[in-house]
Amino acid sequence: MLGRAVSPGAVLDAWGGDWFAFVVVGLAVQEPLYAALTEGAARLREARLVGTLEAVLVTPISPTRMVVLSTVTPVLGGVARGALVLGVGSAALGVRLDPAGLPLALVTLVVALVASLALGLLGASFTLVFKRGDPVSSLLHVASALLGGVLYPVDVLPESIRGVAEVIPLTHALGAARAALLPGAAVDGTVALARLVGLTLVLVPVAWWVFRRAAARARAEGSLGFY
Amino acid sequence: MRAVELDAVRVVYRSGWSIRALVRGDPASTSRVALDGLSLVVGPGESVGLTGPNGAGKTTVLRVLAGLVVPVAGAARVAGVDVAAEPTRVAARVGFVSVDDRSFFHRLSVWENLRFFAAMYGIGPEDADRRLRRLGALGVDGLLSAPFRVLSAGQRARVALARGLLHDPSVLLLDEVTRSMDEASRAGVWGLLEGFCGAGGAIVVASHDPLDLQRVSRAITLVDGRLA
Repeated sequence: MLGRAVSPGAVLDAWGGDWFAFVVVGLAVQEPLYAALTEGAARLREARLVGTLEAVLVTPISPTRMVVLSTVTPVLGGVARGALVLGVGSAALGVRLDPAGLPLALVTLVVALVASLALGLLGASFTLVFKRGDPVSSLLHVASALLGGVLYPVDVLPESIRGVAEVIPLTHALGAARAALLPGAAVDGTVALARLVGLTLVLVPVAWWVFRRAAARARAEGSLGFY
Repeated sequence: MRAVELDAVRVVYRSGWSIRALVRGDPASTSRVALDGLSLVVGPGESVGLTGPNGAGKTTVLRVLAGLVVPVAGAARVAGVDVAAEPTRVAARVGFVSVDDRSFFHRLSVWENLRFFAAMYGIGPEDADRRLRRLGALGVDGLLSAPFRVLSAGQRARVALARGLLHDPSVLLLDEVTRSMDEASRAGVWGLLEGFCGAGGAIVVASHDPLDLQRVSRAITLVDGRLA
């Protein structure tokens, strides 16, 4: 499968034919999205373990806001690492990027971050209810990395699992970002962006509702701050 | 208006969900009644002491009023606002002070901790500094640059009290706060708390200490989640 992707076949032609550039953009976009996906639950768990969670939750900060705000610094770190990957790839490793596509890539990144934060809230919900580490975000991350098209186009995936890739926000985020940034890409990035927006519009209210239910359950059990 | 009102509050602690219990098909296997139809009213300017044996429900009363625990029956209100329905609105009016020193960031200084928690109430550093100077009786000024981890238990309790008062709450919930304080510190703290009540604030304090209970306007004994 990887061999088909690496070989300069028709699959990569749609993305400009340069597999290295394809991967560089994939890794750059994945960095901040991974932080948005995993850090909320990780920070929640850490605050519970060290004992600061209750002290924060007796302030006017809602649990949802606390989890989302706690991801800001890690996400900014992820954005910086992603920019570094693009910068090093472009300046030192000969990757050609289209500067004209930067605005569309940035819009895509913002929408994809919102979708990843929503998925991260689902992971944090698990941590709240079960008082355990968060397997949800980890599973989503593995699924995204394998099926989202970071290292190879999703077109090379077997037909049977390609449908799964379609419901992963990273798939569409990468599609839109690559269409915008890779010269010679023959894919319409706005279609991928529209799908990403659609997924985000579904994910955000669902994740918000699930997390609020999880927090309400933890309050009812009296276990909000306990681990 | 009543500062604090508990109306037939019943709290049941459950063991909660666990993966193992779910697999067994028994998601909530154990439970314990912590408050059993408790009713209580505290008026503005009043200080109420809760006492009673371990497990009587003293801390649970405070946790309900702080919005950390939602009753399965009855209602808890602060200044007429239902705690379960509007926890964020209530949080702005309540100062919850526990001696659990794990609730601070030990690697940060006292000032950094207080600045962090002040920010949770939308209070900026300069405003926090001004508010802290008003709390001079707590003797926290001299501790501000020290890492929290080097403080004694009594000093930590005073910092916890400063944190609970920074946002000018109308209700103060104190959980065994004076437990580790020396005589002078305790006297200073109670002087401050009496000033708080004199300005119309209400205090609910959970304590075993007779010296604390002598300073409150009314003491209530709880047994098994009910009034004794």
